[in-house]
Amino acid sequence: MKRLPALLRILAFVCLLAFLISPTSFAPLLSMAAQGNGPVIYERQSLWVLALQHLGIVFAATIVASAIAVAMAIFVTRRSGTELLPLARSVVNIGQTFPPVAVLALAVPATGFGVVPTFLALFLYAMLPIFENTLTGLSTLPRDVQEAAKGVGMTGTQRLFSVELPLCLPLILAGIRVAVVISLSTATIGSTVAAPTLGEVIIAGLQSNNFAYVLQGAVVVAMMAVLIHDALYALERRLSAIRSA
Amino acid sequence: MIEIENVSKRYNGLPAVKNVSMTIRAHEFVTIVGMSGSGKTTLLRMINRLVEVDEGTIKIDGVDNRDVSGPQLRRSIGYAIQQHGLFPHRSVAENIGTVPGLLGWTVEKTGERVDELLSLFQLDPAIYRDRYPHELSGGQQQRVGVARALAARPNILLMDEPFGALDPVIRNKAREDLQKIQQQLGTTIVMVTHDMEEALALGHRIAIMDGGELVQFAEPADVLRNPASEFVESLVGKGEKPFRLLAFASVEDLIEPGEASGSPISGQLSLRDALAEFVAQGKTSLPVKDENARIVGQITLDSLVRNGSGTP
Repeated sequence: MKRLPALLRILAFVCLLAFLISPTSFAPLLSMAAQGNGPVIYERQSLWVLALQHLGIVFAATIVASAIAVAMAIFVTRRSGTELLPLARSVVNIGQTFPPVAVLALAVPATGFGVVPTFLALFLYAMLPIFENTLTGLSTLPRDVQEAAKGVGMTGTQRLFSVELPLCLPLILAGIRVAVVISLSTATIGSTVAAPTLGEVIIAGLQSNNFAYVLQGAVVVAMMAVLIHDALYALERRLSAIRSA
Repeated sequence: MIEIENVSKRYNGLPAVKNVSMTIRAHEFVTIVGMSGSGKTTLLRMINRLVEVDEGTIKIDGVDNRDVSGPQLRRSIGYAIQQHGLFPHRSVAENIGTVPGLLGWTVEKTGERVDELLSLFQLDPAIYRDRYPHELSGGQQQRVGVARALAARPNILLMDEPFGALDPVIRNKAREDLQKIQQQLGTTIVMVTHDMEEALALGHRIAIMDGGELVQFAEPADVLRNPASEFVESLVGKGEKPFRLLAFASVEDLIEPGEASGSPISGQLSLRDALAEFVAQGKTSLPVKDENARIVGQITLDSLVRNGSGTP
């Protein structure tokens, strides 16, 4: 029975791949949701390409957000940076309070339509969970371990890279996981400003009242989110199993 | 040799250590005792500069400890703490190899040293080398912590309540092991403890701290016989004092010719344990045996009472 969740995940992954490679074979299934004799499968752009572009925007935004958020968290937990902690906190909080739609609306006049405003919205949204988790990790390290790291004669940099960050890794990864999952769903609205994402399929379905389009776009995004979430979670658990003393 | 000269430290204007001077000889085992807040840990941490002195100097083998950088200094001094502070994400071998790694030893040399230390601490290298700290018992974690402190063969080992987190049975064993290792390696050990029993049992000399001041620095028997103040006396415990003094002499010292009935006791036994034997066996004299279980004489309760806790 323990293998059941793993089997389900493999099954979901295979189904997802099969659908992206050959969407037409799923047409009979989706035709029930289609309107009258309208098209069942979105054909203006290959779903496979859209899925990759969708993932590309999400990953790019998350990677950049991770790098900056982790660097900021490291900086404000050093002795020289503690004064900037409140400032850093408000900056990432503002990023989170701005609804992504508002970011898109504000960014378009400055950057034009396309990928850039979407990237910006996802990036701002991803900062908070990663920053907060890294900050929690760095400020709740076991005291005796830090004391020992100093006591054996590690310099500040050595402590950071060989003790502090490795110990925070599961928490940082948890922040990244939250950010990726949020970004995967939020990226769909990027298509309102012409970013090539799976949102395109959903929006087309809404405009033409074709529920089959909405369904295929939404299910592909949801499946990707679930699978990526589970993969990152499994990695996190493996890392923290070693670290829990 | 560690020379502490007129050292003071203040935190937020409040003195933590007041004008302390003491010299710790090479190969000596010194215990620092005091209540919490007496400044004993601060004093210890000033030796490896985890805390910087406000006034005074600390010299190690004649060299001011501020002449080298803090991290460099600390790599040359072993440091073991109560919660052992093992790095949870590193294996036992990696933990022990930390300082050699920082000093740039080769992988082979570090590996040999790790195995040597694991054997010294009675942990089979083949079994324990690749384990992680959370897979070890409390006693094993503590031993790995001390092994890590000794990895780069420091001349000095600083210990802050190293046995505080162990249960009593393991603690006694750990103390004995530490004593043996100290005799074997000749490392100078400075150990902080709040437990007078432990301080008396382990220290060649005991430093007693109270309110940031060094109240007395003397050999255990001296501390017991001539406590420098009421405070020291209370720390020793008036009722306990005679028994503690008995612990410093052994049956051999009071052996006399003659035959006694009862089950024989070893000449190595401390007088304290011998007294317990008298009570347990309900006798006033007992036969004494040597290492080969030969009877070599007797000891009487009378001589134990008269000579045991008096001046030698």
